[in-house]
Amino acid sequence: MAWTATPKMIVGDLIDAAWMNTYVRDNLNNLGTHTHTGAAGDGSSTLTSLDHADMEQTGSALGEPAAGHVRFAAHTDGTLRYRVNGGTEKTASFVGHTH
Amino acid sequence: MAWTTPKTWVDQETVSADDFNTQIRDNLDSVSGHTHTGAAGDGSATFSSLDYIDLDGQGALSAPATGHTRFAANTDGTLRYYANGASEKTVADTTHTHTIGGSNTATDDSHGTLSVYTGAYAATHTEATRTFTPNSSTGTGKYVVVHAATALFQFNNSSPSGYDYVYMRITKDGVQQSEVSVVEPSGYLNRRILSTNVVYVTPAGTSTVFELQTKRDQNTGASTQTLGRSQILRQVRCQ
Repeated sequence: MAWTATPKMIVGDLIDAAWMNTYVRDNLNNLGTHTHTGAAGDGSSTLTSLDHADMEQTGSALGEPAAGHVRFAAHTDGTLRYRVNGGTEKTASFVGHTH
Repeated sequence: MAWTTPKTWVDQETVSADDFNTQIRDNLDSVSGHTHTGAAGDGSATFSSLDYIDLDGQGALSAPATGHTRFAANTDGTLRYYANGASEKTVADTTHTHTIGGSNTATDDSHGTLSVYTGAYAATHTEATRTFTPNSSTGTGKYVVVHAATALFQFNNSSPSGYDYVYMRITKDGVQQSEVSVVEPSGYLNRRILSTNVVYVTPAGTSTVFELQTKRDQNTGASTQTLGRSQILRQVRCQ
């Protein structure tokens, strides 16, 4: 569902069903599933003041992200995983690990 | 505030206060406090093209819900994560260093003058033996174990046509790991040194028997001795 910039209203504008569906319904639906790409209506691509992120753990291998991207996720084994486009899935090490 | 799937509006519709409150006010409130669970109206659970995330520095993390891992930044500048059911961990960077987490050394030397017997290596011979027990025998941490052995042989063969092969080997739990040998033509009281070593990288284990063993293969009846035998085991585990 694409975001449509809402026009500035002026006195005398008629709000019809098409207007409500485009600017209210569709834009709300767009916000409801936004992914923070930075595109208009999709949320900023920079999250500047998060306290923490709780990631749902997954036991599946990470799929490859798009070109120029790195995928980051939590595994069911308690580790953090990441995969660079063109690379393979890696496990982040932690302070105190042994060899 | 729960999300309500936005309705489809029709022309000539009278927009009631309930419509505005449910369809617009409540849904805007819901989006305003969204947490990206992936539920309708709460934002996608996958971010497909983020540039970066700036995390506020935090203190100790609390446990996340079942099946989740919490990721945050600490005020000390490190990244932390906490998997449900585990404990808070700090992400290591590429410049992290390791310290020696455990080490011990076992030596076995001298033994004075010992005979070197003809034939196969045999338990009835006098061997230099060292039982080595890691100072930590639990966990999966790997140890580097260096086993080095040296023996000084003296040949007592005075026959002009005689010769004598001597062999030395080191074993781990009865299995040969390395063997060295030297042939000595006739030469009364000639001396030779043989040495060898093996490096192991293994998980911590229980007691292991390391041995230095000798034997000879001769064509005369003259005796051969070792004037000294020495082996050293050094174990190091990094953390």
